[in-house]
Amino acid sequence: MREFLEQLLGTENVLHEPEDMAAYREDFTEVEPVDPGLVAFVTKTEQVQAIVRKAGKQGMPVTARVAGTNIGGLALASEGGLILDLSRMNRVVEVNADDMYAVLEPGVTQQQIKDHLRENDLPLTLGFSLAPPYTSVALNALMGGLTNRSLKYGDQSLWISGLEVVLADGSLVRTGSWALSDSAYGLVPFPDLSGLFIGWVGTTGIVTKVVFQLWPLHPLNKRLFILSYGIKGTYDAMRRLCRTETCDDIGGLSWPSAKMMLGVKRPHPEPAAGDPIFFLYVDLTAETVAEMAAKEDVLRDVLSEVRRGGERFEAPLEVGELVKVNPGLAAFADFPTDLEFLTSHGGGGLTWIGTYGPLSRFAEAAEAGSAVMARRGFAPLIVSRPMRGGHFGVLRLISIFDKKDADEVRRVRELNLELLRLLQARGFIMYKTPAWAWKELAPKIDPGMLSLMRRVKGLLDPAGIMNPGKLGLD
Amino acid sequence: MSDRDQVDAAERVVVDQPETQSLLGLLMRNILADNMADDTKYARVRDLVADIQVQASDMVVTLRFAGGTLTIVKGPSEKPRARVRGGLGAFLRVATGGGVIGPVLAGEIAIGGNPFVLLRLLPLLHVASEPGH
Repeated sequence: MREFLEQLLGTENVLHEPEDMAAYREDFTEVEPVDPGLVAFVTKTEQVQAIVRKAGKQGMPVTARVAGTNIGGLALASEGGLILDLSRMNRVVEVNADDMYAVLEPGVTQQQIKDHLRENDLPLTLGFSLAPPYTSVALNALMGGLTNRSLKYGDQSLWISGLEVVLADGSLVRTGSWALSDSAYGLVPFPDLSGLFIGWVGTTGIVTKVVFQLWPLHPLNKRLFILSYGIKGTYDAMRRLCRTETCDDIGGLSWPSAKMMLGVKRPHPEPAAGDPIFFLYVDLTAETVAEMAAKEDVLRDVLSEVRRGGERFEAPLEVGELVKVNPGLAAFADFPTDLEFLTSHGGGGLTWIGTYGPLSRFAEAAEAGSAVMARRGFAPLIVSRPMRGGHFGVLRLISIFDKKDADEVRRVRELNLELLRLLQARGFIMYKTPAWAWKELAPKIDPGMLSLMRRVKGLLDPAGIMNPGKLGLD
Repeated sequence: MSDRDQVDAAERVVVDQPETQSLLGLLMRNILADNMADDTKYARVRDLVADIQVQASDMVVTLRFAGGTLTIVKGPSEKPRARVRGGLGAFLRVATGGGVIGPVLAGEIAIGGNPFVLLRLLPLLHVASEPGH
């Protein structure tokens, strides 16, 4: 395989020495490191096709990745397997400003697409996740990730209006309207075959192009921070704001995140007396000054309404003013952003139980999760955001730890298991699910659905070479 | 600034027990450190020995001046020489260039204790135009 890859790609684009592949053997999490056999850098779809055909003949597992920052070990190779590094497959193939879509290769990063749209004076956006600027737009979407437009438009996978995919036999397929039309406007009216590759974490095919629907970028933007003194009040305000349909994004972050942004590397598990427990950030955009003022009035009215229920908030503060007072808060001033404080704490470890679930249960789940984390000696770092108009949201319980401390690694694994069970019992489902968590989820999934997933996987990857072991179906 | 001065400037503001420190104390650290690095502003408080209690909503910290150092301590002081209390928004407006007289007269900020001690604190509460200068 190595000779084949070097002949196809050039020796400079193939790694085989362990020390050269060190960055690929582990991620931020507590997932055990895995040594890949080879790493190959590709730039063209034809190369992906050739490699997959060869890997299929040899039975060599293939894992595609870009930045490898997902929190769950999903971009780690199978032992001795091939990592297909797609980071250099990074063309913005097309941006259709009239019909508002963009065709991107998987290596296109968040910062790259932002810069591209700005440099071409296109008032359009894809929104940005909280992952670093150098992470892949496509891979976030293919795993059902979210951005700061997900409150309005749902998780990013819903904005996919077409895919180009290399199947396990090396053949190439298109899904969506561009399978027939010269316009990649959407998925309908065809059956939604894109769903065979969304949420499957590369186990059914390797996506080589994604068509994204873009959203309007409004000229006026304001990000406001609201300090909250109660979990219930935080989520009451969040849910009420969703119903007003005035916000582009709402985030609910617990107190450790503020302290970490302000330089505390490992906050104590308990908050300081009198401190706010959460802060909400609210993004408002508008076409006109009058529209922005009206939206701010709605925000104030909602806070007043929730206050009348006995909840306490500070008045909204503009993020720009907060950043003047403390530049450490700039991490939340603009997106995409690099929340370095999550990994630059010396220990280097970052993990979470990230779930999607019903917004009506967020307060209770956050309370219960916080109590478990504090009891186990971890500051209760929670990030939550409503999605798709408030129909559901993301609730992430995040832990930082020292990867070099075996006892701490053990403790964080135990913590994650307890949190997963706690959230699952309340109807929350882990997204970008690590392999270890599938062992908890699989026995509880509808048997018919699990059987169908296995049949689809078997049909599309009969040799089992596509990122094996990552979806609990093997 | 000489190397000796540079070391001194870095040690002028200390956060007591940062892992358990109040959010208010952490927010104030940056402004205070930048202003204390200014030798002119520092000279006005170098000899100050006093606890100044600052309360924003329910968050309380004590700014303890002693020995040329300002230590941000979580919680109230047993013997504050001066006290400042107000909403966080009011403090932020003062910090970002708003005057303090207006919020005091409007009742958004309440002061107590020795006003001359507070006058020495005031220049340290504004965002520095050029930190360390």
